Amino acid sequence: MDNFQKKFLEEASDLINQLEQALLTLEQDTENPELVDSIFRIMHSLKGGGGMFGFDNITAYTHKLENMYDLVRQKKLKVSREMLDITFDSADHVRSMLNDDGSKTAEIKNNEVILNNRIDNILSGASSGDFKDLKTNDEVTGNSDVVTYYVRVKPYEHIQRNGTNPFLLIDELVGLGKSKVNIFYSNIPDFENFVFDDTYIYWEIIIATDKNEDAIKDVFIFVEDDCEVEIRKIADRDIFTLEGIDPLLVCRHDFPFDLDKIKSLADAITALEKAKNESVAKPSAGEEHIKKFAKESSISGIRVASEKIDMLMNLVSELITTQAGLNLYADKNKDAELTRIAESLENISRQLRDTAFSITLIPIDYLVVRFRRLVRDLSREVGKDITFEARGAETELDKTLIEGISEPLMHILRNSIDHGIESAEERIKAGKNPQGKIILQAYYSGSQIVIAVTDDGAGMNPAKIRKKAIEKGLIPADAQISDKEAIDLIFMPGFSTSETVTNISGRGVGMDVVKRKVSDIRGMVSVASELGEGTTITIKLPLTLSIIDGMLVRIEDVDYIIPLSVIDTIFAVEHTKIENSFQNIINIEGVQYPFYYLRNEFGIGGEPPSKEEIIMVKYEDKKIGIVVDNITGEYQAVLKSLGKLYRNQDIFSGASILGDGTVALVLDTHKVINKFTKYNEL
Amino acid sequence: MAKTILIVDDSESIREVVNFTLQNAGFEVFAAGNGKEAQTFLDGRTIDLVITDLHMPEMDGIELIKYIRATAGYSRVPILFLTTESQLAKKIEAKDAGATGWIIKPFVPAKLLAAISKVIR
Repeated sequence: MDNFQKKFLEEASDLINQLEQALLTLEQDTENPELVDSIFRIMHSLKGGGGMFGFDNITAYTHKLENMYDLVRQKKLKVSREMLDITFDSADHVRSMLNDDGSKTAEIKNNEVILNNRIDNILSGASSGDFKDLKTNDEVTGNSDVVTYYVRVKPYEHIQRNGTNPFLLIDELVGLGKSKVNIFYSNIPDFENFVFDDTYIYWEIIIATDKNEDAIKDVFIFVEDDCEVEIRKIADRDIFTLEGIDPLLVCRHDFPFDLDKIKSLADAITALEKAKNESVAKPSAGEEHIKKFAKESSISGIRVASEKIDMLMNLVSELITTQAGLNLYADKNKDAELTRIAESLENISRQLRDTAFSITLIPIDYLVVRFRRLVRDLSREVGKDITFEARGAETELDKTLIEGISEPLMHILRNSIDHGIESAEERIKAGKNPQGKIILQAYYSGSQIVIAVTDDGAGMNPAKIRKKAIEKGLIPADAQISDKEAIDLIFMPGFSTSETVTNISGRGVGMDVVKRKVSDIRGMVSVASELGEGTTITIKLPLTLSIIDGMLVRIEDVDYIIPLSVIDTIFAVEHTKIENSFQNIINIEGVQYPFYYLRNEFGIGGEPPSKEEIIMVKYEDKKIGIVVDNITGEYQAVLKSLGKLYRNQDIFSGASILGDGTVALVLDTHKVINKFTKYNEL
Repeated sequence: MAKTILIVDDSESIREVVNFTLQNAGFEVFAAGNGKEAQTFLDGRTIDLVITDLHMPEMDGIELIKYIRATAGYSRVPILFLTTESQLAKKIEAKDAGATGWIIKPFVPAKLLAAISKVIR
């Protein structure tokens, strides 16, 4: 792919994101002309770019959308729910066209036919007259004669005896249109009664086709006497495009389609559309949304390839290492002028470091747009009314963290929508607001970033979880565990609380995967849940930066770095006091602190100095001491990852090269304390 | 591998038209002039589909269909027979004998292929 195309792809995907943002706002305020304008402009840019860079399919498609919004601009058409839905779906559609590597072309084509059909439906409701070019499009893609049939094919057992292969007939039928096929195995007898050549299975097919009933009958013309074929028309339209139809079309072997439900949904939507020349215009509830949108679109920035940023970060790292060398040299030489220069260089490189860092930071808002969409779509799919609120969306995360956190968060949201929030009826019964709520909160806390997803759903039932865990053999039947511990069981591999597997969250991927993904980016996940009140899942991430302000310390002849952000206070203590302490508790200025004596914990031999330093680090809400020989001073540490051989440990988060070329290990005090606490308790 | 089809008809022109159409569609085609010839041809050979006329000298189509259905190794081979719109009784007879489907004469190539696609692929 040439460079221009690549550039266009990036631009286009930006445009689609903007489009989604604008649509979400428009949904709140359907009468806002500025939003319509900006959507129109986005379509226009996509169309223009597509044409320039060989994405003719995108040009053709966005042309239609552009027409639709043009009508809105001219007030010949009002923004409707269906129109918004189409545009949302179109965003996905264009995205898949952009990403198509050729493997999905057929699927995309099908999709486009349906979308075009939907657009045409909208346009045909518009005031007709001076839109000749739309009308011709109508003729090209208009397959408004699509009808949906239900076909039940039940072969007699002997059907294969005259050389008929019933599968071929099902294949042929499916070839007539868009369909869902359900298979029934229930008639297959046990092995003793099984006759090799007999046919026991039968099918139910729902098919939307522009062919007539005779064409369907024709498929079975040879087997009229060899099987039962029932054909019923269920709708004068293609039901596969209906909003909310998917759950009704899920094929579960041996469970028939719920035709009544499908039919009534189709009827309802048809009736609704007939009545729909009036729009869904709601009173403006989105003033601030518009302001926000306007603000967002006015922030200007430039797009830089991420490799360039990585390169910049690398260079900054090198600079800081070099500068440490210079500091060392200046200290040795006692040259006032050199020291001055070294100091001002240090000052500048520190600022450079911080600025370079801020470039790699992306606000969580970047994800929030996607999440809004997810919540909107999924809650509709499961038929729940759920609002989504994001707080602290301006909290910034390193881009690698953003990438790593997206999937776990998505999963947590899915769980909340699917299992957490109850149906409206249940909520009313429980005396709650029928509308469910999910809040995503992000904020900084010390050296961590906290992201919490809270739902006001049913909460988790510890007793139920305990029972399930015992059933699944995750804990022994007589295990005495607290409610909190019970709830934590959801993170165990092989645990899935939902009793019914749904197509949204119940794919056998559970919270254990969330936990694993979060720990992949060195984060932690925890859960708090109150039965009947809701559930909060909290993810804590380290502010993983590749350069940290650290404290350089020494044990025997090895240097270690402790991040400044975790250090509370430092005391000097006599070695004898440590030696005489009981149970690793030391009394300093009247306060008792637990501590770890690293020289012993690390198994370093040698003679300890008579005076040692005890560094109080923050651990959750406690302070815990870490004892080292002495403290060298503050140090800007450029984190280098440790090699493969060191993968099995996590107490060192990396290493840093000092000014004189030696290596210092960077301690992850949290992990150090975790490790030795466990170790000592064993 | 190309699917193999045996066309059994006493009319050389029909055999040729079928042969031509099917070869163009990528099938491997064999021909026989009547049931007896077909019997000899089939002996020990495998075939994916038999298309047979019903009226033939020596051994007619119905007999051939019955023979094929009764012969080990061929009992599940799809058989299409050639018939005309008016021969309803014959059609039932052929079906009862074990035929899979039929092709109504006269036919255009597309119709022939459509019928075939219902029974082999």
